[in-house]
Amino acid sequence: MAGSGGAHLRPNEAASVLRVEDLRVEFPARDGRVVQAVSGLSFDLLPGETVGLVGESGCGKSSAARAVMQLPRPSGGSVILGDVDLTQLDGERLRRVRSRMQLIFQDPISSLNPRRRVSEIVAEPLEIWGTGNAASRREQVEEVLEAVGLDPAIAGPKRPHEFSGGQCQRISIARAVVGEPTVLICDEPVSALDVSVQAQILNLLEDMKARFGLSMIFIAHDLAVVRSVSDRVAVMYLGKLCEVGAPERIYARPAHPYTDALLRAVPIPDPAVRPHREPLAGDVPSPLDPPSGCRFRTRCPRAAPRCASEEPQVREVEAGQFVACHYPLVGAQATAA
Amino acid sequence: MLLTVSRLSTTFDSAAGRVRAVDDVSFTVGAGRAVGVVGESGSGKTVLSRSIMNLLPRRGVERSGEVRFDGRDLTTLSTKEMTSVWGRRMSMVFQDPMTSLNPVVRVGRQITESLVHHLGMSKTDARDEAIRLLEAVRIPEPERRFREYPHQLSGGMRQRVTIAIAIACSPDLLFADEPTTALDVTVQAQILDVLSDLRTDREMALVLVTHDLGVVAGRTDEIAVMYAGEIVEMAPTAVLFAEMRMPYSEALLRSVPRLDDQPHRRRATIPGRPPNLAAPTPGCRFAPRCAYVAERCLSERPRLEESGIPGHRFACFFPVGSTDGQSNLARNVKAEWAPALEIITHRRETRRSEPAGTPVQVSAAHDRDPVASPSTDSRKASA
Repeated sequence: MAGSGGAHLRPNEAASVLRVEDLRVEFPARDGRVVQAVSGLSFDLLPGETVGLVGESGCGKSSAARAVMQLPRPSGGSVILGDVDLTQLDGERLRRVRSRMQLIFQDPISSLNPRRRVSEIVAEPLEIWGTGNAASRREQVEEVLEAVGLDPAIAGPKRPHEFSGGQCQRISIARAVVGEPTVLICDEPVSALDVSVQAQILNLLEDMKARFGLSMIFIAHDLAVVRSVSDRVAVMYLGKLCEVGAPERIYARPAHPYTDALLRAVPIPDPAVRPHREPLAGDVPSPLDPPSGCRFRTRCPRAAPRCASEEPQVREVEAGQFVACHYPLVGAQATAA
Repeated sequence: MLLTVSRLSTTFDSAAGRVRAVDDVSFTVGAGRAVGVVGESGSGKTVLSRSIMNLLPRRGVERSGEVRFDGRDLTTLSTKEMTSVWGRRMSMVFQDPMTSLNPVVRVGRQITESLVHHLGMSKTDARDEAIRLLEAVRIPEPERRFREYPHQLSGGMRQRVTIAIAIACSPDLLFADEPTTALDVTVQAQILDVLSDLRTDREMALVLVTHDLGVVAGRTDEIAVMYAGEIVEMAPTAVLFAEMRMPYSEALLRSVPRLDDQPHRRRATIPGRPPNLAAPTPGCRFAPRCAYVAERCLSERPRLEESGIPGHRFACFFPVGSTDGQSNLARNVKAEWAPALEIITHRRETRRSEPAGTPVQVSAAHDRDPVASPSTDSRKASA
């Protein structure tokens, strides 16, 4: 897996909200070396859709999300929001467009300013944009706090430390949606939370999506978490795309060996199901010096010489299921390896 | 029995008052067995393991009950006496490997330290043993890693190092407190495999503390479910999953995300939050969040009692699957009690093929937090 290409992008007629093509994010390292965090990633997001972006730590999923926001600007590729390419905009114009995208982070407590009151935190986006007047802003903040399940009269005057992790994540969500963005990017929004609270936050995100007509990018390391919220799941490895498809399809019949390994790693709450042994050995290689050809080959049970010499391109193996692998588990060549 | 905990309670003095973090907990761990302790944040599972290991702060804490480990009552031992128990007999792995490792000491020395100190090994013997330990926790290139500092390792690798340190003196009992919570699922699977193998190879008992029933399902012999400082259900693992009686255990299981979840289905949640332990109520502590709740639950506290199946105990007046429980649930649904609505809808959705029973109007009210305003707001959210 771990290849390039854009075969999985929907035709332009589909009027995608966000279209990311050949995105590259590189960071300078010591001795003139380069960290290749994201290398040629493409994906698109349709109105009202949620795309789940899944991969292990260091696969570049957060870097990709930040590059979409132009935080910092990507090293290459295009990020088209509606009909404007964000990578081509200068500072002020970018600032204006950027309010249409919002980000929610993994650690809900450190992403809120501890010195400010909840009502101030949530009002800030409105103040920056000078939306309405003080009274209408207050009303809007109250409305959005209620929408995320917090009582504005009780929660508003408090500061973040007075809330639990799940409640802080609700506050972050309120802050993100108050300016009515079109795209909401959630970077591991539930991985720091208890399973019982995770479920509450996932439900809330679905509610917010319906209420504000959001399109969402949902980043996670766990395929089970994105299952119920995503319309499309994209699996990433070491800065590249492995597999894209509807969750029903790729969970039932994963084509990429990496997707398969990620699925096997999910703990099943049923003692009758024996856990798979070592679904994936070793760690992710360094993005300073990624393997040649397919970047997953060093950990892949199906790797062959071709995987080292030739980078797989994203292609459709079954209707609506796209994979970047020379020897996929599904499709005509499934038995080749 | 290797470890017998009897009526253990731990109370803290906090600004909000006295907090009973562990409340009358009793259980046993047999030699070489794996026991899972499951509960949400604040359920007292970490304080429980620290109370057993004598790792509580000296001031402002009161502990009662007995912790009998291999015949000795640990609660009577001084810190000096405990040093012969810590590391050698029982040991602990924590959630965050970066904060439990010393950042300015090489990995190797952090392992050999206890070998030299506890077992009196020579430096060279300790080095060889440390490399064997790094191999045992499946760290590739152990000789190289031996010389590195913690920051040069990945999160999963660091956690393996802390496990190597914990097992260095071959303890009889290892507490692993959320050992995989900060890690990727793939690394989580590797770490859990390492722990399972070590347990088998070294005949070491393991207490695995976690908030995720999925983690303990395939890897423990017994599970204790904790809520608000108490054990509310305890059973052999297979029995717990097959015969779950306590509504809290059921709710916890339902909230685990699964690979076969339906797209865009509302997730089952546990409404509200754990109770304030500084202001305990007379009734069952789970009652305010329970779908099976009745009057009696609010005034009287259920005790942990035998279910009839060997080793299975639970604390509930109206358990899941009982006639009384079902009629409570039906009544609560009628009264639009949010947790009850949730359980009913969830069941209906999971059995889609079956014809639907009585129609129930579902609001999003069950998603509210306790600081939330009365029900109007969440209706708006779902509108």
